[in-house]
Amino acid sequence: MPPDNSPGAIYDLGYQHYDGKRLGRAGAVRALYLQGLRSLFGLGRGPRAKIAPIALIIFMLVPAIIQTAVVGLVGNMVQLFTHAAYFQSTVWIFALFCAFQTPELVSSDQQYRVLALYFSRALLRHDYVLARLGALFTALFGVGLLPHIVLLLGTWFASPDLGAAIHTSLPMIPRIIAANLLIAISLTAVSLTIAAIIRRRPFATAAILAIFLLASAFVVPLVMTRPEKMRYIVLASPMLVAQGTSQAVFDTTGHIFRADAVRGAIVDTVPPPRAGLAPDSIVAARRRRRVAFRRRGVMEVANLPPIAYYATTLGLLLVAGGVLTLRYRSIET
Amino acid sequence: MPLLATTDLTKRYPNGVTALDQLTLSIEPGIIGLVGSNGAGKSTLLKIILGLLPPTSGSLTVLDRNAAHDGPALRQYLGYIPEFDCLPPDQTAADLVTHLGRVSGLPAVAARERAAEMLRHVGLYDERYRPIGGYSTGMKQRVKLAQALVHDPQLLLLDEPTNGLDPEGRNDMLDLIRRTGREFGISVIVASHLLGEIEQVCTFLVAIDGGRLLRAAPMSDFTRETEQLVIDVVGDSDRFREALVSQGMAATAGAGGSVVISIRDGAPVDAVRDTAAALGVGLLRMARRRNRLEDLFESATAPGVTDAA
Repeated sequence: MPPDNSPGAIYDLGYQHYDGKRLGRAGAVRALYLQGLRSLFGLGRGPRAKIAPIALIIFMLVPAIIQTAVVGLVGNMVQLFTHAAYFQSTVWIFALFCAFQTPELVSSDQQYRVLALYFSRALLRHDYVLARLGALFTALFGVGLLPHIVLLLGTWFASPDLGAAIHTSLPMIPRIIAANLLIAISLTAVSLTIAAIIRRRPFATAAILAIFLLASAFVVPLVMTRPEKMRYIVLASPMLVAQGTSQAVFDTTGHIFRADAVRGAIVDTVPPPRAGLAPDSIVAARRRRRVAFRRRGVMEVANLPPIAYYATTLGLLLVAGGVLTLRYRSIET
Repeated sequence: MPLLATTDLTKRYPNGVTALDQLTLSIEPGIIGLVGSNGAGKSTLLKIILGLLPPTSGSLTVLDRNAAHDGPALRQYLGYIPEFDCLPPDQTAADLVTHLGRVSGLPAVAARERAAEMLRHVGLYDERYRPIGGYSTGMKQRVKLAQALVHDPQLLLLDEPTNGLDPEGRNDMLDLIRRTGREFGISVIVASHLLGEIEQVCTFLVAIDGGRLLRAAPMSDFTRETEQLVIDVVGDSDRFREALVSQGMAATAGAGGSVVISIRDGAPVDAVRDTAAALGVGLLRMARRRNRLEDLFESATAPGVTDAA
């Protein structure tokens, strides 16, 4: 072919071989981890994929912003949202984030058979599991940490003595990190396992929502009505486990709800309604019970030792690792 | 160094189906056609080479590495096009191919550059920033080829690469495969049941049937001229054939009323012409018979048919 001398001509240099570095398995896992993390926040996807994560992050921050505004206006004495109770007030946001974003990580890889392209590359199947677990864990940890950072900064900069304020809140920082770490572990384990087992995205979302929000609806009445026998049932709800770990980490005494436990003992002395009692007194007794329960949350009634929550978190992680490894080993590509 | 060597490679699925039955093979680099009917074990062999399936027994060496123990390191040098659709519709071709390049072990910058380069190679330069969901089948097949080449593999494994393509797309794909093998210097194994396509692009052929090796040889062996002369005549071909036999020639009836004679001891073309003239039949054509790929499977099912000479 005669050389094309026109300006701006594109020369086809033909196929170029690649002689540069190859990063092998480590590079492959890193790539999958980073791509997973990006897709959890809708990055590298269309604008519609960004709506849910951005909205949820904003909702997550709202309580922290309100608290910061309150501190700015009336000072540190009014505590609407504290570090210790923050997870409890944002449980539903965590649940929605897990339900809508986790399938992003694994569902389309299965549905569109992209796994065939992954597994024929420089990694082993459990590397894929590890990268996806890592991505979801990082996202949940980061999203959980964000409002705490806002809270801290708000407290520091509203205070007249910045140095003293920072010094006062220093012991809080390792607790914030530890609590969010444990929360992220249990939520990651449960939601990724569900999303990987349920192939279709909408069903995976529904199942995660059900486990996170409905499980406690079954667990709470059981524990409330028969606390002595049923208190360990609390551990059947992943959200209550996450809540338990968070409260255990933030509790300084080593025993959660010690004061409430004492109060609980008093409540428990209310006699159960018996046959033969006047209907009015039954109603009254029930009402007193209900009032008492409303004052005490299910966590206080169950009053499990912190180790129960920590051990369950670890257990969830191990089970998830096992189930996911088996799941991906058996997938036909 | 052989490209690929297997010893007694066997794959039995849990449902009892034996997909590969003690396959022993050694293949040198080139464009290799892997042919066989549906269910012959072609896809299974490709998946075992890729480590997507573990073999039941036997050993396999690919590019001088043990496929069972060295999977990730080996797969840095393998490219694969599955026979099924495997592309996520919500990603752009540029993003997907870059990402898959990184999963093959390329650093981020190199992956991005090579992804652009490969998409240009397969003819998708302008469309690469559009989501794959809007692509035609031909375009998707090109993306599949680009993702298989992005990490500059030494061996490309293609499973029915022309499946679902129209004639034009089919020709483009075959041309790309040919260029990949000849110009890029990358070895290619093409699994297909379409013998015509294999014949167009491959230099070496491996035929398997029922999980067993039928034959492995250079393409020219399969299509070389035989020591048979095919004669087409207008007129009574039976009488013509009998006349040839009476002159001591081993003449048999061929397909479509033709007459086939052996020419192992020289071609008696003058005698054939004279016989035809004497009988008053018109001589239409005399040509050496070529082997066809199809004969391979005909002879497998009915031995002796093509080996009549």
